[in-house]
Amino acid sequence: MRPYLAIIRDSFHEALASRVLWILLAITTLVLLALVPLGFIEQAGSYLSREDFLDRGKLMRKIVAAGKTAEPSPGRRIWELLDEPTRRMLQLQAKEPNAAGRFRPLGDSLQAMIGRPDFYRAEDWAKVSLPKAARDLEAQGIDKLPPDQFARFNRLALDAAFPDEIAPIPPKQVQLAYFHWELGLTLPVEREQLFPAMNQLIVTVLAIFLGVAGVFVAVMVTASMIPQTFEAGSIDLLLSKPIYRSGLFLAKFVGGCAFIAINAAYLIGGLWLILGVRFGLWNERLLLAIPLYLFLFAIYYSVSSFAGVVWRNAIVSVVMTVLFWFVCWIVGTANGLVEQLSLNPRRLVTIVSAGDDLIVVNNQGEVMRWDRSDEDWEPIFAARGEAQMPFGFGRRLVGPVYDPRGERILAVNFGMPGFSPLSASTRLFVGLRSDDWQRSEGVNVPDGTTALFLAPGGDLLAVSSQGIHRLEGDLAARQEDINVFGLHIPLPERGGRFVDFGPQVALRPLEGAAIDPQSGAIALFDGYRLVLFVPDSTGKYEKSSELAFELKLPGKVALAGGAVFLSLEGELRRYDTKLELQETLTPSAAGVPTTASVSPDGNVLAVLDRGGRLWLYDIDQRAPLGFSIAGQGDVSAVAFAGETMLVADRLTRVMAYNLADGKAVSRRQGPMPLAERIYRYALHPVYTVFPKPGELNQTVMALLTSKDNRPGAIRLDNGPPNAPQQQQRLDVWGPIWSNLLFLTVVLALACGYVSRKDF
Amino acid sequence: MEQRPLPASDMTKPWAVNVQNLRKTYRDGLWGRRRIEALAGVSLDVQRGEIFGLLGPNGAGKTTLIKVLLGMVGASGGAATLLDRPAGSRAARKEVGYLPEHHRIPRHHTGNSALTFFGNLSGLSRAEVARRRGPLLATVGLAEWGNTSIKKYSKGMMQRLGLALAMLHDPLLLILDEPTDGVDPVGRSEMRTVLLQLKAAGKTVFINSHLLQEVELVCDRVAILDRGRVLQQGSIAELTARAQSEVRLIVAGSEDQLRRALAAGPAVDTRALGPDQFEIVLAAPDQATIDGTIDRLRGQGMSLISLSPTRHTLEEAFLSILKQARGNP
Repeated sequence: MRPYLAIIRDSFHEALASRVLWILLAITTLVLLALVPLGFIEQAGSYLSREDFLDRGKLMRKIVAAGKTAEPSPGRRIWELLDEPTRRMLQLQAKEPNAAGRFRPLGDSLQAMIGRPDFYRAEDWAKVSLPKAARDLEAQGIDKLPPDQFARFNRLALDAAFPDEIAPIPPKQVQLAYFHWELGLTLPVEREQLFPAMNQLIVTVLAIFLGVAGVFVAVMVTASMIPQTFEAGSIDLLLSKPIYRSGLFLAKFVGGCAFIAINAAYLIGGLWLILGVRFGLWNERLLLAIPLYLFLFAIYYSVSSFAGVVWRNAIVSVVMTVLFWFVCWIVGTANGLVEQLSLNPRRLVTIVSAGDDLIVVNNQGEVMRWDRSDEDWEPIFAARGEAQMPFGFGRRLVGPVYDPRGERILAVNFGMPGFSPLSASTRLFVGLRSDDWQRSEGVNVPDGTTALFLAPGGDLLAVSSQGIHRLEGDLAARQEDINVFGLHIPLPERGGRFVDFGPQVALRPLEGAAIDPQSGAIALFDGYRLVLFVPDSTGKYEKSSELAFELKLPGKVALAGGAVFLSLEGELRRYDTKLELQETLTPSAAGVPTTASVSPDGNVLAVLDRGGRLWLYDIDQRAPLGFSIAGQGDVSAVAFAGETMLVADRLTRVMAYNLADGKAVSRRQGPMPLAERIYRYALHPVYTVFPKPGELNQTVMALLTSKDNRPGAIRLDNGPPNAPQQQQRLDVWGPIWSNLLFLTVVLALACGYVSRKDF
Repeated sequence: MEQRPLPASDMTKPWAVNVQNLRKTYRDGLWGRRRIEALAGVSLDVQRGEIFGLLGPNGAGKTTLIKVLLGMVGASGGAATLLDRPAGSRAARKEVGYLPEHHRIPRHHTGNSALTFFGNLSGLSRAEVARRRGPLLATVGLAEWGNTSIKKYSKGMMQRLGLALAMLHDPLLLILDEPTDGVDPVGRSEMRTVLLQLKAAGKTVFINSHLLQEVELVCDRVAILDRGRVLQQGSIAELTARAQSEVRLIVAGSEDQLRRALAAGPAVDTRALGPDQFEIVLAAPDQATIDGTIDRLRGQGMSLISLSPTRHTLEEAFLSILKQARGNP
């Protein structure tokens, strides 16, 4: 062992003598020193964010109304403090029924008012009862409070005055600061809540600075080590010694890695200390980034070393390494692009059993029916005159749901919250079996409809963040246009319409909604609140219970019998009808759930996550169901039809399983298009065997943030709710194994070459 | 995986080096179609305790032979043994100290650290190297230079350090490729002293050189290599004697007598030195030729004035052997 240790030691000796190590360590020190002053300042919570306005229209109308009276009130006080243009704009907006337009001036003004010591006057708030926290502050004397405390007091007073329109403020907020200069980034959360987002930010920054720039610098710095050793003259002396040539090569390789390890350990260790000391974020997993980035470097360095022994030239080594990186990038990008642009749009996301027919919807919003004679999916329900958008940017559908009585399917275009210029014309789409499922337009649906349900009694219900609505009257809209100089002027409608069929609620955009097919109970979940509605004797809904969460939880709900299931990332909570927590389960589909559904008999719960994994749970037996489901990891939709369960996997295949024994009973799959064939049999296998250094960043991300799955964590990747399903796989060990295999093969080839070569 | 050690050659005698019919063919050009025969069946042996010189013009295959012996280059055929171990094996390399031609010690070393590094590679501990390096550096004349960066070393000093590196682990066999290259005359003389000391200590030294005077001064035996073949092998005395020597006869008599006397024997060079006095040069004669020639000259009544054999230096012998070999390939 001694000779090989001597070679490793000599690599350091060389690095120290060449001053490269010193230069790198000095640069790292400068970077760390520049980061040391960065930190958080904790303040009393007062920040008013955009998300805190629960009902903007109502707030504006209230302020305008209060402004018109002479009686002192919080609204009147706000009106007084507003400038003239904002007042005029508010008056204009208040007249419009759809008053969600320009809100920004008011929001900014309110934020400014919170900072004013004279905002709160006792006479204005005479009719408002302040919460205890505010009274405690008032007791200390408002003019004596430090700025962040009186801002908090003002904010509490504002919340108390408009409890339905403005969300309550958490007790603390944090400011990002450099030394003591506030950087103007206020976050209305406690310090700990930011840690997951910070972890993600760190991983992203590390991926760029270490994963790309750092590795490149490291490859440059180490590129000459092996060629120099194997140069004529140098190698003769070494080879005359009683050592193995492979050992010499590997020791040199390890020497280069060890040299980089020192630098990486210093940088990441320093970062870890700064985060711990300055931010209180002691994430020991950050230290795992040292071996992981070293591993990433080793992959590139193995290529550099191989080129180094073959060509014995540092420049050729660097060029070959860059070339290798480029090829990896091309293969990875091609694979990703084909998945995203060609395959993912075709992935089935909804399955509907419509009597004898099986109807599916893909990511692109195309509705298709299984054609038994052609053995292929046949498009139906096509939007007339609406061109299909490329690359899966098609409009997504809510539904369809199948109405067995009318033998028809019903669907709605999905309205993106806050992004619905066309929402005024959101209509119900109807397709009749007798009409070959042709799409025709029906009545308007309420704004922001995120789910359609058929109540046990046969009523069609539309669910939105405002509550539950029922269709009254005929669903086909008999609306006629008159054509005036080429313009279509609609005449008033004469069809049915959706009316409120339960209490009005002001929820945020819904994360999930579910109906119990037996009792008709409905659960709505917006990430902060879980609300359960049950029908009364007339069928009209009443709010039965509600559960609030302090922090946003992305998740889905399902209802069965007497249980409400809330499916969150990595956990499943079972509540009773009073929304009291009964138990918490850990499903094997541990990613962010995309659907949670219950079989019609209420026995089987199916949870599908973003990673395409399906988890089945026997509600009666209270145990996971051990069915063997084909295509786990690639499952994109699940549905129940009587005694069978339908599972979509491998893009467009639908397998049917018998719920009694879990056996597959039928399989529907159309012919594979050429692009998919190329992907499946050529591109993807190449991608699989190719090293994926880039994916190691995913591993770092997964390792660093895996602790952050606990509820309430604020994360950077919370996309819009109901975002199109992407097959997103955070595979931790996959990249490690494939890269390790590559590393071993390259090193073995290099050893073989070195051993056989005449020097 | 390693370069396969060569099959062991004759192991009946305690050779330091024994090479039998060793061949090495390099492939060159596109797809390796051109073949270069670097060693075309080399056989030689070096006895233990002697200083052996391998001579040959540039490109004769001297360095290739050494590289094959040390396992740096794989042989195409033949057999070789170093110290009774298959040549090229790690066991054989353990007992060998090597000074390569144009060797390059990594520039970040000092004399001492280079000794430590290469000592470690030979399996010596740092402490052992520290113990040995003082006397060793003094032996090669670098006593004051141990802590100096080798960037500051002259070419001659690098050769001295190279010799120290080869001697560091006290090997039984030293293989020195052009050891006096770039060394000044005083240094060469010192180096010769070191080599003789090594010999006195029972070590075997294998020198590869084209500086024939040097070789002549220290080597016991030599081999002459040309175009991958051993032309001659033996002690220096044997080699110089065996090389084509001349015998010059100066005789007195008439030109007629001379012509008649030489007509019967082999053709020889003659030259008139004056009236009735001639010089006859017999090239590489054996004793019978000399006797026969004298008998015939005397038979014709000529008188023998002088007979002088001329003996070659190693250099002349080398050139003459080479010339002879290239003249009749």
